[in-house]
Amino acid sequence: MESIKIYIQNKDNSETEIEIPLGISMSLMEILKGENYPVEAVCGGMALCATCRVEVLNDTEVSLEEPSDAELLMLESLPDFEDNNRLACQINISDKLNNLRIKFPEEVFV
Amino acid sequence: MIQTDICIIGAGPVGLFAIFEAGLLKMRCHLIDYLPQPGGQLSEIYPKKPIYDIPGLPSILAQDLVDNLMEQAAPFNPTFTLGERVETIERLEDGSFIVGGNDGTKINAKVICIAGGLGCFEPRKPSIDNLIDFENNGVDYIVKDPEKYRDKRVVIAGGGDSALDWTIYLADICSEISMVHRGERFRGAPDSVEKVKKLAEEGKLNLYLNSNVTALDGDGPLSSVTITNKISKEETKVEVDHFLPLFGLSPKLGPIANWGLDIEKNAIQVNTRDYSTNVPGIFAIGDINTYPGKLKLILCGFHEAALMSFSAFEIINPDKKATLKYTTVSGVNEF
Repeated sequence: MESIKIYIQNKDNSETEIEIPLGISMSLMEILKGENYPVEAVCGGMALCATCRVEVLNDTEVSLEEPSDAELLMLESLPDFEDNNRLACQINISDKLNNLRIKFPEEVFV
Repeated sequence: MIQTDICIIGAGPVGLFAIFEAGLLKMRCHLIDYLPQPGGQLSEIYPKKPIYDIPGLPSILAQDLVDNLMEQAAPFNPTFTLGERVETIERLEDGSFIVGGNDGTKINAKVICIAGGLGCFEPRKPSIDNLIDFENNGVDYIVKDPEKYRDKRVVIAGGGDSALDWTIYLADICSEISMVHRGERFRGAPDSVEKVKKLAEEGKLNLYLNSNVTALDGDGPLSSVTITNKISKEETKVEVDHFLPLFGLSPKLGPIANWGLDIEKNAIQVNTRDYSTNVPGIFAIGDINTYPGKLKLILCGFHEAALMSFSAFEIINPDKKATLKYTTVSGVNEF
């Protein structure tokens, strides 16, 4: 596999497909930022600000790496944390992400 | 009224370096920032994390960089208004500005330099329908003066270090204290977690895990909160004087959007000649600005601060020409 595809659910429920080459040593946050999605990434990828939070829509189908304690600490300190929430900066691009479906929390569109 | 040459809005790394660049051209700076300490997100969010892309410094802790920038700016005697958010900008007939803060501070400046990063760090608010009705009337998002809560009944919501630390501190001050955490366990500093558990075991703290505050009540001031267990759905009504949702801070553009500046995707559009905005006399540098090819890096903000200073000099000294001074030749002449 040379590349993977992920899908972003837009505000109007349509989906945008992004093709990502493998072997690029980047996080999902960096990819989303590069695609001009509303990801502030204030802390630059250190799991300290939660401004790259995404909701994983098919977390039962895609087996992501388990979140670290640092990521869970940040997520659980949010007022509206749900179990399918992840910080995009803590998800490294790999073949495990193929067919990942995500959306952004409502707050980022305000 | 504070008088200055340049009012720098935002005391993050780029705002701090702008003091130095302005100082080399003998311009005085006053900085105003919503956070209670200088340093912006470096001090507030990741003070202990190393930064690797500052030229000449292979690795430096964020707080150390802030301390160094403060030391570098010190010869130029900058003044600060901290813990206050800029609400208004007004232009006077003489071309200068009045910058107004939310606590009433007024700063008269010939030039404004917005170095506001990603905007103001504002408290994250839980989604409870009538939360806003009780703001400053029982609901506080930041503990400014713990004495306010002496002998009061307080409910704290949150699971991070801030919620843990204030629960421990206020347990000795409040007449009754409860902590509501939506998770099963805490992942904060282990020492703090142990202390909170001990307080709960000793009966000094009512600890609600797997729970959320779901409703607020009060005729005028807040009088009770409803705590709902996520698993059992059981609801508990707790009589309170204060509810403190402590969910950390998140950046918002805030009042900057109302100042007549051209904004694109939450950033201020600037001319890359000198990082001037569409309003003459107002500049924007660092993460708050945008232009073709913009990179949100501290080092880019430093460059922008230098160019901004030269154009600011021409506005402040219309009869003089700014000359590039090499610190290797003339050193740093404090004033």
